[in-house]
Amino acid sequence: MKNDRKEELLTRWMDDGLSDEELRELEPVLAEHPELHEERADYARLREELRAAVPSEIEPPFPDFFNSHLERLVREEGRGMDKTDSRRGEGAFNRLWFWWMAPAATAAVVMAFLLGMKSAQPANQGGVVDAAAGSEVYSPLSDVSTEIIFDRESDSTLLVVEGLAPLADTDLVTAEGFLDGEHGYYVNSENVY
Amino acid sequence: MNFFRQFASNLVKGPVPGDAAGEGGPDTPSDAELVNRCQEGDYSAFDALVTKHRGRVYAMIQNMVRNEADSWDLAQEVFVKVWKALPKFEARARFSTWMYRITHNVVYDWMRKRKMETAGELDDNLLDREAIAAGAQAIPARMARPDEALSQGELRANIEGALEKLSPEHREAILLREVQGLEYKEIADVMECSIGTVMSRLFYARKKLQSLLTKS
Repeated sequence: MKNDRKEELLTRWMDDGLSDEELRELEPVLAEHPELHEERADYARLREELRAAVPSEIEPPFPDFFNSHLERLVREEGRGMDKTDSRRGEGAFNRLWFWWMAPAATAAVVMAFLLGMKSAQPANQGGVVDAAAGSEVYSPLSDVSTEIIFDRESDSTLLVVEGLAPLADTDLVTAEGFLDGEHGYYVNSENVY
Repeated sequence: MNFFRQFASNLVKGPVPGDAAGEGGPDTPSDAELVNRCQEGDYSAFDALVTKHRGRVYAMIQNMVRNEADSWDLAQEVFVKVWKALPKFEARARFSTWMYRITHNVVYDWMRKRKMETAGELDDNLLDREAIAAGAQAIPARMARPDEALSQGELRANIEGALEKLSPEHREAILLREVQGLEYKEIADVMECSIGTVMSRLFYARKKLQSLLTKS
């Protein structure tokens, strides 16, 4: 008898799971190894001991929390999947719109460029730029444009200067220490304050 | 929320009654009914399924990994996977068998990761583990008489010591067969192997277990 078949029959014999025919097939092995009967009795005892000693159920610690925590995880997973799905939808949506949005966007960029050219011309000529209401910025360089943006919400003013040559590191290393007054900081190439 | 009162009430409450096959009692819905409701998106049915099966899942994991915190987290992972996979569950197998299969996959993934993480290191947890988690409520297959309790404690320690010395495959086969009461075919489904392999694993696991217990 092949080893695999013998193992199978012996295993099921130990579980009382053999048919009469299978039992007849196994008889020569049992006759050759009478100690197997004792092993079987031992195993029946072991099975009882296993079932008595090893719990088939163990309530997890804090069972209610187990369920509520699980519910939270499941809902988070669900939200994650929803987001993924909606992102997938957005992607498909964008792909459809891309084909007519792209030419429209290009036209908008061209229009903005032409308008920008037109509005920059007076500033370059006069050197004085009308900016935020009631404010003026003077630029001594004709090819430099300036703009003031006043944000009422944050009560702050942003000065935008375009057309300056890039600053070299040596331009920045011009001072040491803090400056007095409310704008008490400066930048140099070695430290940022 | 009073956490300890909640904990105590649940120790008393215990799992929802129902047998391993998942057939509900007269007042308990069967697994099949609960699964159907889950598939319709009823989370309360899933909550009932979890309450019904968490003890078996946690015990199976705890008997495999021997660590309370990891077992708790892995049991959570099992049920998250169950919830996500439930829409595809076709009831060709019993729900409990399918759930044990997910448990098997989660535990073996964890073991693989653990093996990679601790490669070359001495893992103290693997050498010195608590037999049963301090905060856990164990429900043995049958209740012991008081006069049996003392010797059972010793016996349990011996058996658990012997089980730990088995390979994970042999240990799992023995636990599924003898403790959880699964059929060979179901064990083969859970462990994703042939019935012949299950037989072979049980054969060698039993021999090894007997030999270890005789020595101890």
